[in-house]
Amino acid sequence: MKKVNLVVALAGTLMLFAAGGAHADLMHRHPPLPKGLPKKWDKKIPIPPGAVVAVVNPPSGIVQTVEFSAPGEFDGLINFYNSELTKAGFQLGPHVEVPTRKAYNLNFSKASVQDSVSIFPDQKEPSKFTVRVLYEVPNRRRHLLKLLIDRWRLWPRFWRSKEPPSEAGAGAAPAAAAPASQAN
Amino acid sequence: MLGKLPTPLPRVMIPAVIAVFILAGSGWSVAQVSPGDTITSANVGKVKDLVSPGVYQMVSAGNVSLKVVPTGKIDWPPPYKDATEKYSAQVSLSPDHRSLAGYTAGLPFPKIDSNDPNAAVKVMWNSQFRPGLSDDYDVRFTNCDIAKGGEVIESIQFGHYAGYSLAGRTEVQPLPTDPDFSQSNRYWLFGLYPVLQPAELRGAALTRFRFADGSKPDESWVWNPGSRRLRQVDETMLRDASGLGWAPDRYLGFNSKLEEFDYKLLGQKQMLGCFHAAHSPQPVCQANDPSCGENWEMRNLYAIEANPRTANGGSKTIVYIDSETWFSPYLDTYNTQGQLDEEDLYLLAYDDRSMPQATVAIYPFKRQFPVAAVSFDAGQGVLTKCYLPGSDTQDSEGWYLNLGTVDKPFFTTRALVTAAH
Repeated sequence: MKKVNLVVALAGTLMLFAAGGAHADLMHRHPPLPKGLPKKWDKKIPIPPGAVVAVVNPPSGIVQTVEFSAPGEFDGLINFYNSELTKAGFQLGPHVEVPTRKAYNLNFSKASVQDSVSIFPDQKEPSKFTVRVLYEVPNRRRHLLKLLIDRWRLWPRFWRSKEPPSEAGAGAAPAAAAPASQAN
Repeated sequence: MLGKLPTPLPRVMIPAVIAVFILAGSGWSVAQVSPGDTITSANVGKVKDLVSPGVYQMVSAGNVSLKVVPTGKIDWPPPYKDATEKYSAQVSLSPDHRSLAGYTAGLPFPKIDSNDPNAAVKVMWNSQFRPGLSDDYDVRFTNCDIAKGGEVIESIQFGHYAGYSLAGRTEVQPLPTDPDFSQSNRYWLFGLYPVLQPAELRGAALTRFRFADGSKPDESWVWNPGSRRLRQVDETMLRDASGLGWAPDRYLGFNSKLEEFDYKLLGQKQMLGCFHAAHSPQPVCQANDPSCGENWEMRNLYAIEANPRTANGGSKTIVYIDSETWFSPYLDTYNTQGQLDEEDLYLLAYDDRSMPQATVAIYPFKRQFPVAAVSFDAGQGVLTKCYLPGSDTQDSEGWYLNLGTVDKPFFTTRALVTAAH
């Protein structure tokens, strides 16, 4: 009897896991990653649908570059990265857009990681765009340490940094533009 | 020290002098070097009078080699040229002859009269608002190698080396002055962050603000990853290279607050400088490698002696400033005993993009941008070379100049802390 109970419990657990896995898959239906990505690709960085890996540069230090050839419109790709990176938890940083040449570059960051994406016409296939992603190779240990320190506030309160001023220097000085009427 | 032409000239010598100037202008040097020459420690004597004592020392030590090329033409960015024509007539010095008055944009003093008692301070202000970096700039993944005895002892990689000007803007809105200037009185904002490598410095950051008010010192904040604290640092720390490998007062030339120094024009002379560097990014070179020699050309340089007005304000510096681009190709700092203490050298390029493979940061005209900065601390025997862009960078763009890449929020202390977390 006990054996039967054990088998039933085991089967139930397995079914729950399977259901959970299927459910998770439904909830997070990511398109399959394109072939040829480097081993240490940062999976949080979104890849446009239909993009294929064109070039993988070897890492230099902690930085690596991957180029994709992506179909789609210039504005569509820009919108894709602006929305998907935000959804993935990245903070969007400085960007440059040159509409006449259809060139775009966006910095994005997360937990001290500094990445960037450039979009420009594909020289081999003008109907497509090259999407160049420059990213920091994920370092799990460092991220875990950051998480412990920053999220869980591992340090005692007295040891933590004070909240920085919202914009140091700005508005701190009275308006005192350089005098304009004096002659040397 | 820096000779002026003897006056009056005998009439018979005038044609000869004209001929010399024509030859100099055509790129054929009348000095000890000619285009095509390569200068290393083996033949450094040829350039003894054509570079600063500090650069001479660097070449003698094999840290730098020179490839002499004909002098090339360098045009200012057209919007900067227009702004100079439009606004320069309004500019003057303040009554104490230290600060700038009536400045809007462009070059403050297009005509420098060497007989003017204020010529030196005017040259310094021209250098402050030079044509190169008028609106904003950002170069990513730069790195500095710090070496002693020929061996790299530390390599530091930075996420951003960036700046934003609130006054003197010529290309990117708001023009010509950011409205924030009337509130904050800041001329410019600078940020160097976050440090990406080495791991123990990861997240370290620096930001600095320069005020138009001559009596108000620069405001600077540092994020220290060790103590995990944000600190405001005073100006004495900005003269120190030990923090991030290079003293912030020497970033891209003489970067101290101008009003805190007295200036003396030592002279104007044809000297060598690197203004058309062939390599960007710069390769990592071994000592005495002539193949690593950059293009150096004869330039008309001002030599200015800068002396701090206060006892703890630093030490004497001889600043060399190009009379066309107003960039400083090198400067020598002396210690209190009058001995050469530190040499800073800047290599510049002139192109419509800072890297050949750039796809975004391409400009409609050629412009000047630095490609490397080399510093030698004679006291410690430490050589630091910073690569702008990084020597093995994976970024293909290099300098983003006047593209609106960075804005004021990028330089807030909050941004520093966020990037460090």
